Amino acid sequence: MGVFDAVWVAAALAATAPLLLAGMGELISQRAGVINVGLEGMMLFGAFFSYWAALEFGTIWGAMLVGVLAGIAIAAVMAFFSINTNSDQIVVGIGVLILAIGVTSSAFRALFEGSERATIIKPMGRLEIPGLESIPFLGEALFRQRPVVYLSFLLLPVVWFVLYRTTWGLAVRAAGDLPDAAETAGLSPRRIRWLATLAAGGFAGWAGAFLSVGEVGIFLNQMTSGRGFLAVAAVIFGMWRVSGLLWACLLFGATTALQRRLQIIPDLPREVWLLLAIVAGASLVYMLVRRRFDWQNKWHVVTAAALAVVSITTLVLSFVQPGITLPSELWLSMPFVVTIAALAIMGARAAAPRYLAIPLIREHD
Amino acid sequence: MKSGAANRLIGPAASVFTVVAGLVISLAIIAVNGNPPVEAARALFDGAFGSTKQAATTAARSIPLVLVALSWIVAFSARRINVGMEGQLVVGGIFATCVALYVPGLPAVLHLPLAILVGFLAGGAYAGIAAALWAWRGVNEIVSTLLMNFIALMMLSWVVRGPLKAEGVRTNRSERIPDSAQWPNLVDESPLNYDLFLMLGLVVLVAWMLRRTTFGMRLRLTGANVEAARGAGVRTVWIGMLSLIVSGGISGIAGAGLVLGGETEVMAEGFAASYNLEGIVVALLALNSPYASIPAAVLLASLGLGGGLMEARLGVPAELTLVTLGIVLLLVTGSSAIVRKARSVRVDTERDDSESSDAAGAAAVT
Repeated sequence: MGVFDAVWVAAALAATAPLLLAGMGELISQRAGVINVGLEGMMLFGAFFSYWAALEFGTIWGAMLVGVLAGIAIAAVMAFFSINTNSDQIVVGIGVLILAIGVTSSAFRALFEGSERATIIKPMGRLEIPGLESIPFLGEALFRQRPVVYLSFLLLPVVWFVLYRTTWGLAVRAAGDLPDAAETAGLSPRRIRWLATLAAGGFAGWAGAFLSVGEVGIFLNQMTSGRGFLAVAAVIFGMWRVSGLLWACLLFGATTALQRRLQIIPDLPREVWLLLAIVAGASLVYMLVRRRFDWQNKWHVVTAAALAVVSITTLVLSFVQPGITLPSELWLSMPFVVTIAALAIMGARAAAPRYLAIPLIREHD
Repeated sequence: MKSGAANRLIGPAASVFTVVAGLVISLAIIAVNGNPPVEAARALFDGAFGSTKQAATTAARSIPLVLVALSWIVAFSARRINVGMEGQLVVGGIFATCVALYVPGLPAVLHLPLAILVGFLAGGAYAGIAAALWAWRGVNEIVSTLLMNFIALMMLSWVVRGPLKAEGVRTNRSERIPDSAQWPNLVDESPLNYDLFLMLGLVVLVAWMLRRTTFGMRLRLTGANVEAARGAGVRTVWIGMLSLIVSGGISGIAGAGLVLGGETEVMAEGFAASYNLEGIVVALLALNSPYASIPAAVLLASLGLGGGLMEARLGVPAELTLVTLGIVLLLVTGSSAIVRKARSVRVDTERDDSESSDAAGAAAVT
């Protein structure tokens, strides 16, 4: 299978984990009606403060807890400005992002730069699940991950349960969809939004902590490199559902892992062409069979034709296998391209919480 | 309506207040860390205005900030949110560089304007992708423009390493921009060029366009109330697209200016610096008024340059100015929301919000 081997699956899952963690927080906060574009900044906060704590206290799990708390702290800023002063959530999110970049990079320079304290710590060890770990392909692919990776996947059903099977989850969804009804029912949508935003901060802080002390062992300026934004996109692409979020994060994680491998391979291998052919072909079939396909609709016909052309060309190329070398930057930008393409293919949805990004202004404030 | 003038002053007053508050907070942070705040403030000031050269540098730095702010303002007046100015700026810069390097034999009168025009078109086209996805596929333009920033940065890193790389040098950069495509210097020994006047002209043009033209009227109508605009026969989707495209074009001009007026006279990675985020702060600080973005940009540029000297003199990390920016941005949005509320209470019959005072207002995210 070449590129798509067990190592790739393992790397894909590891790359999915931080997206999933941050994405779960963002899902909760968006369901409550708070769009949080400062997620990237909250991840940075978690990444920096957990690294600091790891040096200070020496325990990885304690450091992760500090990361979570740091994320919650900056989320409180987001919550205060977007909920209590009714400011525009996007703008506040950008403010939080700038603040977080500034705080983390200046604090890193002030505390660590040039000093001998800024060492690479030993990152979180891998947890090999006994028994399962030795299964031929699956063992290497699934069961030799860092504990947080397992946790992030295990938390997903928990988040689903909380959102859909508990009163608090109902309140969260009400705050995003029917805040007036929630208020009538005696709930405080503003308070729910506060809590949901803090939850997002905690999850994002954890995701950031996973990147710094979990994987790399050091903090680097802006080390989240767009993952927070990808997580926001994953929530939207996943149509604000838990299962959708999982698929979106897996897609982005898989692309990230693939991108890392393709960077070091000179020629584009056959299986990548084949994968493209399969994806394009499958989408074409899906479009013709599942969606109500309309030969009169210009947009439908053009898309179908384009998909047909792509799938045939890539299929041919997978046999010819031209020695094409593509720049590594192309691979680096792949997760972003895939995300935008995915959003474009899904198209507009009515699934967004109705009061997403709309401040709740009380009549007699 | 008696207090109309006072009402109009609340917004700007709040802006000034938040800037002062942000500075005070930052100086307090510096003081807490054991550095004399007076010294820090003096370093900040000297770094920005200490000499003619410093002042000229501050002016030069504020040019792209104003342009990025204009970019935000144009999109925002139709309530579209463009956070991809960085990408549009980079793409504008790349294409302007291509024209500068590979269109030979033109006199400066043609070469420079052509490069800038191409920068405008490239930036607009790049934003146009996001605009088209928004219009036809309903892709949220905030997400798409944000993600496209990363793609543009990869593109830049590739072109200066690959196709546009100068021969025989080890650093990743383009060939030197020929004189015919470079902005002539305005103040000797400083990075300030004649593009200062292009920036001023664009400010006037954008302000005029928003206030006095049908297109501007349609933009603002769409921004104020989509339903009403549609009812009045405005093609709101088309207007939303155009607002994003023009916005991207202005960022493209900023990118072209950075390359064609840069001190290094080449294009290299990182020329986009952090103009995107800072430009957004400028626009919000200026309460989305094109004219007010000039003083706001000067303020931000001086903070940035002053921060550099502060670091050199006192060892305070220059990134601390980003903290100041973040605080200022949060305070300015927070206070403008409060001001808006105060105003709607005071003028509680018909709201006389001029759109400039609406500040970061109620942007819908669809």
